[in-house]
Order: sequence, then structure tokens, then C-alpha cells
Amino acid sequence: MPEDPIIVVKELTKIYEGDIRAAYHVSFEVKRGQIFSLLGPNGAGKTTTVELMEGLRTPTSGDIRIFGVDVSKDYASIRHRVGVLPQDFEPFDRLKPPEAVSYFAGLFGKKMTEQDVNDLLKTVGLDERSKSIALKLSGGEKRRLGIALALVGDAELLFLDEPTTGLDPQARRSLWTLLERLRDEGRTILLTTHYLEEAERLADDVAVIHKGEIIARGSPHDLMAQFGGGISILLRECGEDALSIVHSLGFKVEQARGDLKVNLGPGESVREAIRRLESGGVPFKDLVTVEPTLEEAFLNLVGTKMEEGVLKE
Amino acid sequence: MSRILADLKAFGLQYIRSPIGAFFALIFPLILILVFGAVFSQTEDVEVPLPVQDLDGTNKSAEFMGILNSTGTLKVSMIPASVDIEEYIKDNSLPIALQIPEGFGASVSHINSTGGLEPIPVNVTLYGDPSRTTYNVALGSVNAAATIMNYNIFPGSYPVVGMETESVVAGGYQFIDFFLPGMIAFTVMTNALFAQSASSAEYRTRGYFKLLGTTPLAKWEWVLAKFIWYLIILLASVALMFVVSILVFGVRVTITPLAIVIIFSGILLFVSMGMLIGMVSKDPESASAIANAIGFPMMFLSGTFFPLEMMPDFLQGVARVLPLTYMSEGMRSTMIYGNEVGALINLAVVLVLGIIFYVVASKLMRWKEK
Repeated sequence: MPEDPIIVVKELTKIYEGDIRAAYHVSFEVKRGQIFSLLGPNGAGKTTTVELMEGLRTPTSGDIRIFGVDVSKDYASIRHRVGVLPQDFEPFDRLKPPEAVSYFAGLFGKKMTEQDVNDLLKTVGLDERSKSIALKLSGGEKRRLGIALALVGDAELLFLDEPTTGLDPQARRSLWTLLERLRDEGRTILLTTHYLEEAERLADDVAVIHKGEIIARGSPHDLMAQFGGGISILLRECGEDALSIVHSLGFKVEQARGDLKVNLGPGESVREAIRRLESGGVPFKDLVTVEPTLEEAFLNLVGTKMEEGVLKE
Repeated sequence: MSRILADLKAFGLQYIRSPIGAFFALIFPLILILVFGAVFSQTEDVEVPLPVQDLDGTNKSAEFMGILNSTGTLKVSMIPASVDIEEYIKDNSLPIALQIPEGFGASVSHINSTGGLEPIPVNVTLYGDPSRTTYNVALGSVNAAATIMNYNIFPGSYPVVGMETESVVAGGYQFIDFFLPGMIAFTVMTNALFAQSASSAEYRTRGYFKLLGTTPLAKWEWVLAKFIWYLIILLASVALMFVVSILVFGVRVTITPLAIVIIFSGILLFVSMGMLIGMVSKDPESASAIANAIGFPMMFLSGTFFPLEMMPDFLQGVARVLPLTYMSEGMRSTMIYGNEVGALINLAVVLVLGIIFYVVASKLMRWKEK
């Protein structure tokens, strides 16, 4: 018998004053041990949805169950099983990491020895920074401390609201490794992000949210296959008449810096396409296949590109 | 309870590590005590307020009061003739007062059996604390006024109007004794208001309230931990102020139980006020700006550094609407004058304001959003 999902959200709607739909008939389920990503641009309703799940806001309508408990009625009974990293988290400036961890341990009524605290800081890679007040930590270290605080209550479920926003690429990648490890240890993570590559790399399951509504749902692979427009073949160092020949063979093709990019339709066989291109006599020196990215899927879904969470009109 | 302790410890660490917090709590009051103690111990007040009880009510007593006013060092105000002057002095925490006896006019204009003017010597009584600067100013000035009066009545002959003195406040108080109770009130206000307004604004704008809202810590527990913290740091500060004042200036006033209750109420009031400012301001910087705009006038107009009576009338009016005035007066009433009734009235004002601000602030303070 399959295990019940950890989170069940049904028809969740939150309408703010001025008829702003921050969340509109949002439904999804999150399975244990997965990283579930709410992916969408700024203002799509990600934070509202997460804060509704954290019991910080009251839904206009709909139902949220976490560990089988109705959040709007009894969040208190599950809060020790849930860890939260708020959006744009900045730790308490003048506390050192071990002090901040002890503080949260105290709030959760959890006894932690110095060794326990140090172990937890080691988990998030902060054990070397125990002597610095939070003000002196780098952006990535601050988020790690935030994650340590979220882990204090032995959380089985983590809500991480844009954990890598504003970090440099290196800090982001090393945080990804941490999140993967936390998942592999059996925790369930709900992650909001506007970075497509982040969802692509980390998420087992993605819900694309736009204007408060979920417009696509599936694993990154499913989404890319379904909305990414299929695999394309990049023809390297083509001859002059290559474009017209490829066209005449009935392929969809575009020029890309001296190369030709041949876009295959969904389900179209790569082997078959290569055979046709070769037998059709297309002059090219070499070829590579390019898988569709989540970026392309997103572009096809929303109709516009997204950079740093902002949609490009 | 363990949650409150955890929050208290974390907040205390942050507070002590904030240079502003530690400075306002522990260093600033000492600097002010040393500076003002040194300055005011040696200077004389310019115009001393002198409340006068006129039991005579004739044009002669009026003439005498006119002379007192014209000395330029005294500013006469009236005490009702119906009251007992010593009680009145205690109830109103007056440093000095003058009594003109009944029959003053009759004595100075006494006509003998031959129909000639033959004044009978009569004394006015100066009440007050002989060790106070204002008392000595009044002593000299009233003597001078009596001399002028004598000259007016009976030029060149024996003195008619004399003066006797009555010590009302026991135990030689000096400027520092007046200053210290106000300074304690001042320190409670600056700490609680300045530190908590910035801190609350920081917690709100940085989303700490939201984060704490996801932990088992309740709002009231967080608030209670703040009150306990300010109580600890401010009682430590008060102890330090006493030690320095005793060692350097030999201060005589002592802390009283009522003074402690007033300190509690002051903390309730000014911490709540700080929380309220933190809730309505845009960010920590503007919270500090608002706290300064409210706090600085209070610092200087609430009778911490000079007696209210020495300020111009319109500033006294301003002082009457400033909450710190009531806290300072309450502290002085109980610590200097032993006037518990006066202290209780001031305490009531501080406490009621404190409860009002607390209720409003905790209504506005949200763990959760709508």
C-alpha cells in the first residue's frame, strides 16, 4: 500500500484586498522524501502559498493537510515536525551560529549539548564559523544558518522559501549539494524558486505557478518532454546550402551562430532523424544532440523568458 | 518558561553586543551624572520659585511680596491660606516656601497711644531644606527684601520685619539628590524607547516575527521576555548609578519600594511605546527617528535636569503632557520628599498610560498575517 502524501493541498485560494489572487484553486500533493519545487516568477504566489502552509496566513478557501493535520485548525500539533526558512532570511545579526541554534532549541523545548549544536552546524557546513556573529557571515553562510535553525526541531519537512536567491553561483551550487543530502537523509523539502536550473537539478516534482495558479505539474523530465519542444540536433560547421536542404527534408530548423539547430517534435526518434539528415546529403562536419531545458518548457508555458524571477516582456 | 528563558538569553546577548544598547543602559547615565553633578553642584539657580502663604492678606503683606518679586532672584507664587504649610510642602514636594504670619500688616503699621507710628517686630518664616542651593538663594533674597521693607516702613530706625527659618526636609540634600531620581526615570525611558523601537522594527521588517510564528514561542512569551530583560538591565543600571553617585557625590537619597514599582511601570510604558513605534514605522531607521523625535524633548523637558518650576510657563505646559514628567516626579516624590501620596498619583498616570500603550502595541504586533 503506498504511503499517504505528507502534504495534501486542495483547491487552496487566497484572495487579498483589491481582488488580488495570490493563490487560486491550487492543488498538489507532496510525497515523503521528495524535493517538491514551486517554480514561478516573483509575485506568482509562491510565498503566499508557503505561508498558508506554515499557518502564518489564513486561506480564503481550500484545505491544507500536513501529516494528515488540518493546518488552519491545528498547526501547533505539527510545528515541531516542520522547519521553516523564510524568504530573504537574515539571521539575528549579533548572535553567533551556536547561540542562534541554542536559542531555537530552547524555543522548541529541545535539549542540545554543545556537541549536538556543533554536529548540526557541521551538517550545514558552518562548524568553522562558530566564533563569528551572524553579521559577519557571507550570504551563503547566512542561509546555511537559516537551514540549521529550520533543522533544530528534528524537522521531517522543510519549507525553504527561495533559499538561494541572491547568492553567487558557487554558493548556490554548494547549497544545492546540502539540500540533496538532506533529502537523501529522508527529509521532505518544499522549495520555492524562480531559478529554472535549480528546479531542474533538485526537484523530484515541480509545480509551475503563475499568477496564483498552477499551470504545469510533473518531474523536470516530464515537463521538459511535454513543454520543452523535444530534443534538437545541432549541426556543426554546415555548408552553405545546408539550411535549404534541411528545410526540404521537412525539419523545423533555425540558424545558431554558423550552426543549424534542428528541432525534433515530441516523440520523434533521434536516430531516425540523423539517418534522414545524412542520407539527404546535408553538409555538416559534426553533430550534437541537445536536450530541451526547463527554460524552454517555461518559455513555452508562460510565453516569456524569466531572469532573476522577473518575466521579460 | 524554558521558551521565555531561551528568548531572554538570546535577546540579552544581542542587546549587550549592540553598542547602542550597552551605551544607553550603562555608560550614558553615568556620564550625565558626572557632568551635571559637577556642573550644578557649584552654580546657583538664576530665578528661584518661592511659593508664599500669605496669612495676613493686607496691602502690607502684598507690598512685601512685591518687594520679594522685585529682587530678581525670586519668583513668588501663592499657597492657599487655608492649608497647613508643612503638609503642603510635603504633598507638593516643594524645596522651599515662605509664610507671612497673620497680623503682619497690623504689626508693621502699629500706632501707639500717642498716635505715632510704632511698628512691632514681626517675623516671616522660610521653610525648606537648608542644604539646598535654592534655599540659600531664598534666604539671602528674603533677608534683602526684609531690609527694603524695613526701610520703607521706618527709615533709619530699628528693624521691624525679620525672618526665622524652619527646616522641613530632613537630612541635607544637594543637587545630586534631586538629579538622581530623575536620572533613573530618564534612563528607563531612553533604554526602553530607543532600543525596543529599533528592535521591534528590525524583527518586523526582517521577518523574525514570522519565523518565530512558526516556532512554539507565543507572542506573549516574547513580550514578557523583553520586559524581564529591561528589568534586569535597568535595575543593574540603577545600582551602578547609585554606586557612582555615592562614591563621587555622597548622594543621600535611597531607593524606596514605591520607586521600584514606578520603575516597573515605566518599563511597561516605554517598552510598549517602543514596540508600538516599531510596529508603525517603515524600517528600523525611521523607528529610531520617531523614537528620537519623541524621546529627546522628553529628556530635556521632563524635569530631569532642572526643576519644572524653573522653566518658562509654556514649557511647563509641554512638560505636563510628557509621560516622563510623571515618572520623574513620582520618583522624586518618594525618594526625596517621602511624599507617598504624590508618588502614587504620578505612578497611577504612568501605569495607566503603560497599560494603554501595551494594549495598543500588542494589538498591532502580529505574529501572523491576514
